[in-house]
Amino acid sequence: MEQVPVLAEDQRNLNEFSVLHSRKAIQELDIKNLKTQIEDIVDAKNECELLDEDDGDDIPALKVGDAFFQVSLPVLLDQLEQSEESLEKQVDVLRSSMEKDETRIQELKSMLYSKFHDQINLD
Amino acid sequence: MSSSNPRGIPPAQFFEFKELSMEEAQGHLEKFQEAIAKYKFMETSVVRRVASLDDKIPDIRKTLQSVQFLKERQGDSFTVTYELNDTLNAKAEVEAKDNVYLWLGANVMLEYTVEEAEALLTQKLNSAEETLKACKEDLEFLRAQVTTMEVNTARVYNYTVLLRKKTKM
Repeated sequence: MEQVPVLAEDQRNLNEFSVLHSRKAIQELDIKNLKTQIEDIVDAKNECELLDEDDGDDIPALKVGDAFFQVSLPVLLDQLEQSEESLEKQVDVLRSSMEKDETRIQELKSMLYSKFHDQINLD
Repeated sequence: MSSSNPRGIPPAQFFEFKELSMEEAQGHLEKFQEAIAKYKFMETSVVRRVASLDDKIPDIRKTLQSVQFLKERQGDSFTVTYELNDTLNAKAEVEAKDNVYLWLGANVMLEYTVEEAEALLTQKLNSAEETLKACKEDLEFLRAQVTTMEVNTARVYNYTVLLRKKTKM
């Protein structure tokens, strides 16, 4: 069949698609990692909820940086809560960035497929 | 068409077609492959910088977390377990005082107030994150240039296929 001519504009669209597609894969991985961390924190909170403040020796140590600090139960729970909130915010930022990019990805796919049809594969 | 990126990486030029002899086409294909190789080399260099920052940033962040934790709990004392060596941990009693000591490398450790340490580490972290962001921009730019060159290659190569068919007819 006849080759569809590639214009400079098509090249720009293709480049943008390529960049957004790669970025999406990286961000999906980042979100997965953050969710794993959040799960760990939720598990930790659940374990701590079973403790009494009087269980002095059984209260787990809190990791701060690379060291483990023995703190009171309220401090421990508070720190876990803060960590979880911080991670959730990071997930939200990544998600909204991905949603914006996804809209553009679909626009670009539509333009490129409508011109090149099956001469191109964008998946 | 496009311009260099903020770090001066040259843009790949979109190949505008005209009539080509087989010899000319082969010449262009060689140039495209050279350009792709150069971009890939630059990419390797940037990837290495990203890996270095990916190691460094968590360290700065952890140190900042420690300083902020001590700052929030001025005057409190803690039993702390820390790593003395890879396989050895030790316990210490730490009082959260006004001052901390930061290791600056080259066998230098300096005393700072917790406020000064927090400000210094925050600035270092922000700077490293800015650099990481710029490196990621560079990687995206490089990817776009490689894409342009690969499409140039495909188009010119397809042209040589047509030329060979015409020659046989």
